[in-house]
Amino acid sequence: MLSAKQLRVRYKDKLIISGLDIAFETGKVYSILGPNGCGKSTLLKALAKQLSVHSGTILLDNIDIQEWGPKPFAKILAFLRQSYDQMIDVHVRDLVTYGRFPHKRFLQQVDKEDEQIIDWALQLTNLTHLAKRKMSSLSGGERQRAWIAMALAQQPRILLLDEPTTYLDIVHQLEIMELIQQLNQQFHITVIMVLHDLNHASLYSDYVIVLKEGSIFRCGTPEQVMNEETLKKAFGVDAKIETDEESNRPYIRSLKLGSRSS
Amino acid sequence: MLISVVSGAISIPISDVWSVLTSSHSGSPSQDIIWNIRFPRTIVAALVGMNLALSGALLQGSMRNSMADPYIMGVSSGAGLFGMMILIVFPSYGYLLTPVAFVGGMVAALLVYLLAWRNGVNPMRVMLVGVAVSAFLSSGISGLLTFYSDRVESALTFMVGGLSTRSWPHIEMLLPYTVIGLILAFIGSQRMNILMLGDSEAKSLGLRVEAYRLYFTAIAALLAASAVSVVGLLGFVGLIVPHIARLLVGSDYRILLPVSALLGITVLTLSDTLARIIFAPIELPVGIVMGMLGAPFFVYLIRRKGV
Repeated sequence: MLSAKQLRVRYKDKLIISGLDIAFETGKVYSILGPNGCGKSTLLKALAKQLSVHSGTILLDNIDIQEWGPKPFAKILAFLRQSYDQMIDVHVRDLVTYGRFPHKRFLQQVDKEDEQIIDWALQLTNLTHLAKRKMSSLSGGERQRAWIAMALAQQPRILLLDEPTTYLDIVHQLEIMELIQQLNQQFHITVIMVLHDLNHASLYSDYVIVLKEGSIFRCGTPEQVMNEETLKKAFGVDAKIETDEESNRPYIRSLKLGSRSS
Repeated sequence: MLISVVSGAISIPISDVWSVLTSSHSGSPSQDIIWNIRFPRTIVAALVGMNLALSGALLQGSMRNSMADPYIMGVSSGAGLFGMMILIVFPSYGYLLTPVAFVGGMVAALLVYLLAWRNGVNPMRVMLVGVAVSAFLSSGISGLLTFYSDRVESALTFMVGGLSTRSWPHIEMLLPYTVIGLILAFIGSQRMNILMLGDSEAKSLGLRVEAYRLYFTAIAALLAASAVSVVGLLGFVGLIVPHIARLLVGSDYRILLPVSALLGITVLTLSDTLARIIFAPIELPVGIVMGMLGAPFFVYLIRRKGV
């Protein structure tokens, strides 16, 4: 499984992650929260081998991720960066087909089994009817689902998502969250994501990690972490938190800026 | 290509061309013109057009920037400076023009890549460094032209790019690079598609992003340097042809590369034919025709697509 030990990550001269330890359990959904600049995205990118680590180690199945070859690594772990409106001139099905790349040897063609996996990924993300469309002709939510479909075609055990719902309207946000939940419950994919919406994090994750200034401030179940004190200290906001009757999860009813003096 | 063989300062009927190519008996002046001038020249034009178009397509993809072309990588100004040195400073070594210009182009491309390297290569940084290196080398060319202003004339055709007197030896020089470049480019076309998704996405799919960016840039530099060293600083083919190809067939490199190659062949042989017949019997360097037709057409494309 995935874990980090004494992790330090620098960006230019600044230490963004300063000595962080964490171990992720298989088959759970993790949300990483924290104010801007706390290192959420940096942590996720380091875990995804997208950034070089300054010191410390990240282990995947007890092997340092630096020792993993790029393709074997991509068969286990898929990473999607923050959704932004990148206009790429690609057909949806072709994009999902690229997800098979780590499973293919040099010049090896896509075979029947690959096609089935691609169909499965398209179906799961509800894109079958859009498979022949170009990415540039889709809506933001559809595009995000297409990227997720590409990641699914990698058949990863671990899915890392950087703010998968940013820039989407509320319906599409919920669609993505429901999809993530389904991937976790039905296919036991471990999900580690950076989220901005605290209520989504509370509602859809097994564990919540709150980062502050490059290290872990709180880590635990939503019930353990999502409380007035955490939000006050990590974000500097005054929150009123209730328990949502349907899900039994903490639910933030109101938020306001905390007084600076406290 | 047939038109290119047939037309020129001396027109030759198509039937004659056919008989020359099919029969082996020698003697007629037409045969001499076709076999030793027109035919090889047309092949050189085709190879150069293909090399430049492929090179542009590869650079635009690997740099993910539609303004990238062989010239921005410093290949042309490098080949230009080294070629000028031979033509102007050491005219007695004129036979070394092609190999020396080739080395110049490759050295310049390597320089750009090394200067842009800092924990990997950022496409934007490559482009900016390329512009700077090109400007530096171009001022070297201008310096040469100023100091040896009496010898400028001999270098002029090389500056604008021309195909006159290009013949069999040049084909021998070009062909290996064309074949190798073509094969390597087509083998990598699916990886190019993945690289085009973005560095982060490509890395997440398990592609060695830095290695493949270097791979495609190196092929592009080889193709461009071989073309430029033979015909001189021929502009616009490498920039425009891939754009036209993209408008026609989209940006899937498995299709885009062959279409770019074919379009490059067509555009250059056609331009060279025009260059020979517009003011016949005087020949224009093909570079002038390319620039005169290419630049307005490019502006037209930009305005129409609203890029």
